[in-house]
Amino acid sequence: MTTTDSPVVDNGVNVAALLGARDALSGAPEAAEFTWRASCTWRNGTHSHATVTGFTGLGAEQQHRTTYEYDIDHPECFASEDNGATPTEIVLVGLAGCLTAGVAAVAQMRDIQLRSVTATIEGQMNILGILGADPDVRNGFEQVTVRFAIDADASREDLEALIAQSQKRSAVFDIVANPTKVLVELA
Amino acid sequence: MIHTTAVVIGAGHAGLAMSRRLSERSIDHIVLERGQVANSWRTQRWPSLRLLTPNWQTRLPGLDYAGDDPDGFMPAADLATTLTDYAQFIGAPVRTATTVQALRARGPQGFQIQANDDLLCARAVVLATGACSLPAIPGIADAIPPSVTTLTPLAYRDPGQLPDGGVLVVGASATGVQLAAEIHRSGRPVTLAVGEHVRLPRSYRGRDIFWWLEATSLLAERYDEIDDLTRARHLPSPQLTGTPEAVTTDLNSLTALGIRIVGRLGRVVDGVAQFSGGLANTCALADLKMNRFLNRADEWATATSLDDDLRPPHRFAPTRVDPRIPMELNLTSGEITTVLWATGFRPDYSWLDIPVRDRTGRIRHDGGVVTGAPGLYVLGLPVLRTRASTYIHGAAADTDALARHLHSYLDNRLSAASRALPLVSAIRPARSGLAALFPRAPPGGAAAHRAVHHLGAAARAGPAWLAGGDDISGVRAATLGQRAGQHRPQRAVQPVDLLALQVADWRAGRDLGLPQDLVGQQVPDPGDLGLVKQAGLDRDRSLGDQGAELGPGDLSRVPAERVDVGVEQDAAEPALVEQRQAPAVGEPEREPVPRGLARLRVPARAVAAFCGPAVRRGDHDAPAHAEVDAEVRTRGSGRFRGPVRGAQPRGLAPHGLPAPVRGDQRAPDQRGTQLAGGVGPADERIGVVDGHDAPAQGQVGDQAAGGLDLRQLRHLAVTSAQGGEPVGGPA
Repeated sequence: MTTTDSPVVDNGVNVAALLGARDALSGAPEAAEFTWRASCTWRNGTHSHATVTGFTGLGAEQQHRTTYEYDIDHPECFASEDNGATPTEIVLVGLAGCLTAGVAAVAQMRDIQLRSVTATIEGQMNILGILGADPDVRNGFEQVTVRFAIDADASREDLEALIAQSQKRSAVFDIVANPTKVLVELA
Repeated sequence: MIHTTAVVIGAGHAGLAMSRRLSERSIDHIVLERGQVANSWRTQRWPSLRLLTPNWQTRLPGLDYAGDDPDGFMPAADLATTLTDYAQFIGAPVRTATTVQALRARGPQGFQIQANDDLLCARAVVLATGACSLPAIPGIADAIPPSVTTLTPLAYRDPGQLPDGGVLVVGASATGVQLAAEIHRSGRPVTLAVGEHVRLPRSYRGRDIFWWLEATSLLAERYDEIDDLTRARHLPSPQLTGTPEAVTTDLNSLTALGIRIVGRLGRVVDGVAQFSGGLANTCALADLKMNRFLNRADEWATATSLDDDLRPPHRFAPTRVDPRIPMELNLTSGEITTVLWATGFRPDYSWLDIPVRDRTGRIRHDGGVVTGAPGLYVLGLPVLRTRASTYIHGAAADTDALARHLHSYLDNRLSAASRALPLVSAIRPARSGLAALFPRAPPGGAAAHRAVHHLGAAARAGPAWLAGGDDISGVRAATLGQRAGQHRPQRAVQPVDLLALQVADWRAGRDLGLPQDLVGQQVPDPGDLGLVKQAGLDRDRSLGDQGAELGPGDLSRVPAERVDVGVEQDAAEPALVEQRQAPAVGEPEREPVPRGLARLRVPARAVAAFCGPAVRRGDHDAPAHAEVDAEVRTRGSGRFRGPVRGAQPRGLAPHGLPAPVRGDQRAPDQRGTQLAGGVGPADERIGVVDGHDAPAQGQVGDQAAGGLDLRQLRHLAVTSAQGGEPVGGPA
């Protein structure tokens, strides 16, 4: 937090609230345990429909302002109807959204006024893996590349530090970059 | 049942330093040690390990390095020897081969310690068992295939104990990078799993990195002024190695050796180790933070007009991350035969039966004053009171502050009773008792005296307990009628000064005692007022190790404006290589101090202005007399010298800490603090800055609030940008 007289930097991030939450949750660790949820219903073919409504956190059940809905499908070249983004693209969306939020928050804390931030994200994948055609090829991304174009009152070095810190504190970056235990079971 | 006033658990550098401080205050105590002095350095460190800090920085209360290799790095075995010598030198009442099984609260009487088959009762207990008693091994260790040998750094001795074949070293902090290099050189191909790490060069612009860390006051940064203390205390140790060649051991140099660098070890599934894909950013962050510190160092050099004495600024190559690094490694293929967990260490408090630990098992404390257990203290943890606490030399200031707090605690507990009783001011405790625990004198009896002779001319000059600490100059200044601000006393202890000091003590109704006199004294009963108000009780003021950490982050306190600092123009700096050579015998400028700093005459005002919040009250040793000290020091013999202080850059990197007593508290017989530099605990609110002398004070109001209620949580609320970033664990 800064209390200097420099021009007020406003990226629309409530840093005080974030820091206050950090402070409060450090003293009440059980409230820091969150569970994020989504549900997904098959429609037809590769098309499914997902909704996000509520989550658990701060020791209680929480609700989004509204229910968010997503159509998930595959493109026509996969012999699908292309009713929505592919699951892999939604992963990229999640990563880009997480890193971009982090850029804004870190910039706010570092007194960097942002004018524009655009992330371009690519995930390279060899689909021989998911097709089961080559056992040496993994299903997932070979590599993910995120490129940030940032217009801000800051040096290039500061911006590099900004995106580095955003990665360091990013949930989805961690989810994508590091192994996560995944359990899939029959209800 | 054995009664004593204080018990120190652990006879490592921190416990011994505390013993010294307690002896200075004539607080009778026992040091319990499970093995022998410096046990972990003897039994739990691999032989090739050397301290990360250069020899000139390896100093303990009353003892500075005075050997012939100030720029070298002390092997673990030498440190063990040094600590053993020190224990004798200070007459530490160490009870060796004594394992503490339980420490319990004992009502208002203090504490009860079960050690071996004995019970000890004490009113105060200092936990000095260290931060690295146990290896911190991640849970995924359970998934390592049984065909693979696993071991920890505590069990590691040399590569010869490992089977042939590849070695996966998990963790790339000081331990990991050192062992990776050593093992790889043995012909066992090493893969190094790298998590979050602190990158630092061994030297920069011709000076060791610890010269910079000290000179820029980073190490003096106090725990209660660090934005994110949790982060600071959990930073991994820097990627440094102490080698005779003083080489940098970073990931680039390890890659050049042929070591394969991979990401953080995430999990092991069906015998396959999976590594993080975030290595590039992990390395980028470490590079950024290193450069942030180097920027601060350069600004400091310019601000102090040292640029001409130093090599030109430069930057190190960014860490190269091979884009083809494997994300997985099959541990069942036979390629990897050993996994070495260089994933950090943790303290062992399994014997602590007092509920003072948080949910993660860490002791809750405020600068070493354990929360919720009056009379209980902890030492030797990373960033305990300053960033220097992480290293050996930090114990000097930490123990000074905590001994003062402990002393104050003992006084306050009995203050009500003592008002009703005549003050017994000159009772010498009976001699008996403790002889049952250990010889009255340290092993060899006269060995302590020999040690004094060996360890320094100045120590020889008088009672050893007078010899150390910052009080010397202050006390003498007072007794000689000098105001520190008017005429700086020489810090070398001269016989005339000691005489004056003894006279002063005599006038004050105090008794002087050699530490040997303290050793072996039995106190009849800890409740005996005579113990606390015994003779010689005065209020004068006076680690860490390689597994610990430092934080080059948050290095933003360098003011932009250049300050005027007078620099004594001396000969040009010798080349780096030359610095590492052993000095000619008697070479006067071969000082165990950062070169350059020792020769500086820095006006205190400029230093105070520059150092800002890091400059503290209690810095009695201005750098102005470095030349005098250097001269005196050459009279000493042996590796260490006694109380000759000086040549450390104290004026620039002060270690003086505020008294943990409240600002309005002062013992009737308090001395020293208020005399040296003219600032004492009672003066803290005044904000005296002695313009002529050493920088006197910073953050005056901060200290005036008092030490007993220091606000540890304050940092969370005022976190700055970098400080607001919690840190992950070591790799």
